Amino acid sequence: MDECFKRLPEVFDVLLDPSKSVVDDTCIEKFLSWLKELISVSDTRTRLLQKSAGVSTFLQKIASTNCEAETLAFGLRLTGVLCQHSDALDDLGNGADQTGDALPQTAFQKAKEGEYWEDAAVRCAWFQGVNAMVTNTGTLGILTKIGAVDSAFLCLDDKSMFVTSAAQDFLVAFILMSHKSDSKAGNTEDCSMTREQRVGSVKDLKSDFDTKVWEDDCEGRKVVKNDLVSSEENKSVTNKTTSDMKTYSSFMKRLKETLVQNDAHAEEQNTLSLIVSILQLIRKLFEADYSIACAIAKETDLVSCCQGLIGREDGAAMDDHVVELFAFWMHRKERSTDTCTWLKTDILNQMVSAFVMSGRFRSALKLAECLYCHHPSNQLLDVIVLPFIAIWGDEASSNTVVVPEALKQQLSSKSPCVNLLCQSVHAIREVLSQDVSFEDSSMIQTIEYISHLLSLCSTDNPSRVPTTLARNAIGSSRLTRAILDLTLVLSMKPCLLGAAMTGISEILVKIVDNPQSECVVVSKALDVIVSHLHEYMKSQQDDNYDVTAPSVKRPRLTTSEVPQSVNQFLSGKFASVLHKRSYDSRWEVRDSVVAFFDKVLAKQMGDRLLTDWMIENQLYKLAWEKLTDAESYVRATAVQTLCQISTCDVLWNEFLSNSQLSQEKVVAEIIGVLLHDEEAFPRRAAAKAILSWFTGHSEIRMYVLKQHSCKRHHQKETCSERNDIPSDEAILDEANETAEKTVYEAMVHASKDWDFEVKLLTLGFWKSVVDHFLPDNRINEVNTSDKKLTAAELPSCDQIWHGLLEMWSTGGLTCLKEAMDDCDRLVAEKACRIVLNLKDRLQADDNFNTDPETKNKNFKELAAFVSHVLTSDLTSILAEKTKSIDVYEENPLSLLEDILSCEATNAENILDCY
Amino acid sequence: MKLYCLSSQPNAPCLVLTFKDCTVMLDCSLDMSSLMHFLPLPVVHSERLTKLPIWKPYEDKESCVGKELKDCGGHVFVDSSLEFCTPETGLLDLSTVDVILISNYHTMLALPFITEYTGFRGAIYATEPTLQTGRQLMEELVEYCERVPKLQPATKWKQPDIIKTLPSPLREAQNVPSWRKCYSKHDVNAALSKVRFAGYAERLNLYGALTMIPLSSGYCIGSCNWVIQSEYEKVTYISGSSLLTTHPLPMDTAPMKNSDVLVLTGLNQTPTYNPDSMLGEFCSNLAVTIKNGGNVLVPCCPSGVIYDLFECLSAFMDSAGLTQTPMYFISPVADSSLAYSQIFAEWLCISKQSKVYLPEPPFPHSELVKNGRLKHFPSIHGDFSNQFKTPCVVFTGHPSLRLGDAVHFMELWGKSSANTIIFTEPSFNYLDALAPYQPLAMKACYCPIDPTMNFTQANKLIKDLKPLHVVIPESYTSSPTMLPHRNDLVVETDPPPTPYRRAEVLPLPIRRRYEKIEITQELASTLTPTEVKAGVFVSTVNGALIVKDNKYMLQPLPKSQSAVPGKKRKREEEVVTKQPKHYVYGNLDIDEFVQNLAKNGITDVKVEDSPGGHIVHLQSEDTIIQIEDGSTHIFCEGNEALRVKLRDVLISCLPKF
Repeated sequence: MDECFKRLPEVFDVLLDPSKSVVDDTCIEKFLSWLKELISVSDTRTRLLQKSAGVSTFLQKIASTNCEAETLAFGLRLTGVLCQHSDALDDLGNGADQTGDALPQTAFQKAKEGEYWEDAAVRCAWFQGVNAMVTNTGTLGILTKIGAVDSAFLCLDDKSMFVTSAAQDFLVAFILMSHKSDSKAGNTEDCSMTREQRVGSVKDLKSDFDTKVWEDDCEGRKVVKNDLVSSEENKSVTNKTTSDMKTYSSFMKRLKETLVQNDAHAEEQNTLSLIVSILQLIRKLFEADYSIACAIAKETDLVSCCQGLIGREDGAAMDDHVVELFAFWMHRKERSTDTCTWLKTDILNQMVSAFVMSGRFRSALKLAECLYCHHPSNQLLDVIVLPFIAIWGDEASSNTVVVPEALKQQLSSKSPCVNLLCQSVHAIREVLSQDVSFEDSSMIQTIEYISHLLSLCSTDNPSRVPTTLARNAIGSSRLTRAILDLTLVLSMKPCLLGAAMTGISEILVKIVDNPQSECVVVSKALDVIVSHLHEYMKSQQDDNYDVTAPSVKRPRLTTSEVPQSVNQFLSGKFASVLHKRSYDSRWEVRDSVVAFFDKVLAKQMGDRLLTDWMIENQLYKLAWEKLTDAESYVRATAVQTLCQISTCDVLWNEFLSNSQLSQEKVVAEIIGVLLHDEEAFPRRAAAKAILSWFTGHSEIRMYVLKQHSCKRHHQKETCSERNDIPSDEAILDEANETAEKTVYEAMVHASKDWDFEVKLLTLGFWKSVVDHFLPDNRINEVNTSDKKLTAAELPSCDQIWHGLLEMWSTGGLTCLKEAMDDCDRLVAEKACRIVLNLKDRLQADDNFNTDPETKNKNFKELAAFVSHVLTSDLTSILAEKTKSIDVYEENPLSLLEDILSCEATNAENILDCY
Repeated sequence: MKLYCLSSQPNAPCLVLTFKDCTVMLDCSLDMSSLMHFLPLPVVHSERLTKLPIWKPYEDKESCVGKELKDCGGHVFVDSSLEFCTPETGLLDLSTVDVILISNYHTMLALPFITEYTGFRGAIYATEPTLQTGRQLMEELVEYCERVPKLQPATKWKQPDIIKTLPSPLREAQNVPSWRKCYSKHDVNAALSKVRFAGYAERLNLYGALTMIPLSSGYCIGSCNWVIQSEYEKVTYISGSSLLTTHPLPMDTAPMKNSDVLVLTGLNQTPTYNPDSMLGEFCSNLAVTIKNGGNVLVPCCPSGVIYDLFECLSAFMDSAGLTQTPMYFISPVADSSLAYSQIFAEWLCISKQSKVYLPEPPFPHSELVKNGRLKHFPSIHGDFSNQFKTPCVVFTGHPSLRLGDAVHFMELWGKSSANTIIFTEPSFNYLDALAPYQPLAMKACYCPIDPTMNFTQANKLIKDLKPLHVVIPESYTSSPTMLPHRNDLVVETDPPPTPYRRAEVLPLPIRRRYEKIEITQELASTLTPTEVKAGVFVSTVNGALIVKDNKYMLQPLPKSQSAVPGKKRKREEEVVTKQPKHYVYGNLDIDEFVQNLAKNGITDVKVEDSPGGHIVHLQSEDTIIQIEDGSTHIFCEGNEALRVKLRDVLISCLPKF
């Protein structure tokens, strides 16, 4: 750190030197972040402010001499950060210039002069600086003198969005600070007031403030009456807040004027952008402090202002901001206990109507959606489904809603029609996904519209088209996708979907069958089917296994009782469709079909209907066939699905017998994928499958263990014939040459894969191997709480060594050892954790003999490994592996060196960088 | 300019254009929709077809059409030799047709009916691949028809009073009087011997009156669109064009811009089926069938899309693990079709052309044939039965399922649900094609692969080409019958297109306003042009107009016979005196005129403005000169000397050449 402090003056010199530019922009940001950290700590702050550090000198030069705009911007931000702290503010304040102004004030005033202010980076930094300062009430004097609030107000419609945002942030911070300091003043009177009361008092104070408290002085400026100050103790606080409130008052007045008088300047683009900016500001205020924002909203007559903004010819963008603001308000309102009633639901309903009347249906739909989520009403639902009713024309005549002509006009063009319908569908989805209570009848009617619309938009050749407007929806993939998303949500609400699902299921099958359906549409349709089947199976399980009487199982539902939609999905026709789609020329569709079985099996919960369907139509074969697909994603999904099939015994046995395959053959095939597939995704899936089988499939695990022991036995025999004992490496090399590898050998090979995720998965496998051969008894110890295992229960030393030897023979321990130094940090980290875990297991036994006598060469190598594990400080190695790569945090010197290195750079080097 | 429409099918066009005393036939297609009303012609004796019951209007009465009609599963079919709907012959005398322009091999199958049976004496133009492939299609058709001869042609059912009593759809059969038996091999050879080759962008001359240019249409090997133009008029004929990237050379649109008339036909017949998706669907259906141990029948034409199908399918079958499944291509012309496709390299797209230089055949089917994956046979008889193994894929004709080897496979495989028939040709309704095979257990898939332009592309193309008038088949002006709500499946132009239908004559709104005349060098050298305004030179020309081969030539006047020299001289003098030396033009400058009058001694001049010009009053002479735009009148009370003087003054004031 000392070295860093020594280099600081040089760094500041580089920044001030216009002939030198910093190599990388991010250096400045990192440098400032580091300085912020230093400034936040009292000791280092004091040290920074010493002359030797060069910060004060740098800031003085910034304020007094000409420098680059970037340097000034940096200086302003640094000044702001420093001024957050009173000691630093005092320190900087002492460095007054000839005019007697404090250093920060001079710097900020200089930035507003001449060409500096034209640079957006300077303006942005200026507001970031004052934003940092505003948290310290001691800086209010400076802020007033430099006209921070006025400047921020003027920059609310700055042409640079970064400046606008920074100005908004500052004003939000300023408003919050003003309110909080007022609250502090109020606190001196009554500390027991709640936050709401304080806010109320602040508002009262503000209302008084314009009428009573302020009096014009002789120069026309307002001064505060002394009688407001209740006590001497509060005097200092009040004096501080005086300038604050004056500025605040002026600001609020302008804010209100701008919003209310917007009509007068409607034609001016600047005014529009200013209003938009103010709306954004209020939104930020809501995000920062809900109750204060409510007070401000009330104070500025936000609602009436926004109502005035609706329907302006040029205000489409403004509508979005208005809607966003109220949507956010409604979202927060639910989570707030604030009793503020500045905005009533009726007013929002009126706003929705106003949007509809003015032809702004997009905004109307959005606002209606938000409002419906909190205050459901048929009136709002009518607005949401308005586009549906419009395109359904006379067929929706049961509905009494009158469709505005403007909406019909908008729907007569294809693009707006699809947009509005999509938004409407999205709104219904949002409503449904939030578990809002609604009238079933109206929602069922809506679902009928949706199912009709799905049939219309999912095909190029619908059987029925109700109106000319509806023609615009024909064959729209975008709309189909939106409706399928909605149907997915609906499929989780079987009670609601009810009869409509029969119609929808037919359409879903058609979508999957249609070769012209978009890949995403097919995928989504299959997801809906999975979800529907899942819901059905869940309901069946709930029915069959009554919780109250678990011993009494109800008989299964007969086929006739199965819903028509389920029958449609679990039919031979749909199976043949899936077969066909599994040969689609688009890999995405093939992948979706294979994944369909994976998903449906993952949620099957032993449903007989499903397994029967798959067996009857031999659908399990697809996963096996797709192991050789041309596309790697499909191969990966096929491996995953095959693994999923193995979890269902009936299906697995049927698959093996029907395909004339053995379990060994299947495992060998997956090993083939793991070893030979050129793409990483199938290898990852294969590693995952083997891991899953080893941990969850008892038969395959038995096979893996048996396979290994057989191979060892064979090797021993071969060795005895040769009269020598080959090393592990020799055994592995020999195994590599053989055509068929054991699972262990394959995993050893995969431990050196190019793909880090494959390596991570193989480590997971080796962890399972460790668990198998050396069970972690400490888990039992923890579970039985405080009850230590007896010596008899603990594995004996010989048993441990036996387990270790078994593991050693698999090659797993060697892999773990090597993986600890893997080039991929995550792999090394995981390997360390596993070895650390192994070490803990070994150390759990106090009598573990670390040096058993043996002449076996392998055993000696194992003993050396064990010894290494036990003696190494694995915790610190792990800590090293998990260390962040952001070196500069540990060693900021390298960052400073980077900045200083610009001295050595020349134009050629810079060109080289590009 | 007139357009005669001789065909009712937009995709089987036959039009005649008369212009500048020339009669040009545009395409000569054979409408095969009539085949759907006939029973299939089985290659091998079919017990089922032979035993079909005779159709009777009433159970107890004998039918007035004898045994001509058979009942098959509720449908009535004609049991006789197949008949095709030929182009309309009564609309104009087809012997007057000067030239037939062929667009592609699908649109020339009616040629023998025109060239051999109407007294046709003109020329036929087509590209070389069109001729060769067209010949194959014709030969295949003749072979299919002739190898199963039916001795008794059915005629009774065609009588108007009987046909209206028949059940649908036979009752609605179109243009029955035009139906004819297939032509013979001799007719084919005779017709094709009249064909002359044309190359892309070659300028072909018709009697000097019209220039005809074939341009690549991108639809199939050698397919083209035609531009027919005179010096001042241009007619473009677009038939069967494709903007997709398949094996043929891409469509050439640039020379078709700014035509006076654009005749557009041969648009996509299955516009709601995307050809790419259908190709994928074709492969998927095929794979599922083969995996389940079934066979696949693909009724198809022996050329065209089939080359792309072989290419895609072989790659797909490799990826789906079906490499061992054999593909059979059965057609009397299979051998020549595969061979010819490889030699027309210059008619193929650039990527396929470049393969020739590797050297590699443009299409992979020769490789498939070489390694035994694709086997081709002229028919199911002979070698085929020795090599036939199932499961397999069979490509064979005819797509109508009324003739050819496909009929045999339908009888063979139709009873098993494991087999599949996949329709790829868009020209026939697959349900109609399958009607005589009902009840059918075999799966039927409809994957029409139609690479021709769809309506959106056609509308965009018309906008780009900017023709003055667009002429289209009537069916393109409204949504298809089966898709009434699809108002995007129409051709829309501004001004609206002119529709036509069979047996209609359209007078096209093109008037000949100009004709190009050439001046001989000799005559040109005598001209002395005068610049009347910047860049415009005028000269008088006297010459004799000679018209030969529709070319106009202006020559110097012929000299008189030297036999009577005296007379000659007199005539020459007469001619010379009759010609004015100069021609005056332009407006009179009244001030200059007055000054010139003064120079000639006439000073007592009074000028008045009149509504149409000026009135100059020579008071002393009692003469009035009335000057108006386009006319000057001198009223001088019979003073001839003064009139001549005034005339000369006036002429001297005007510019002349």
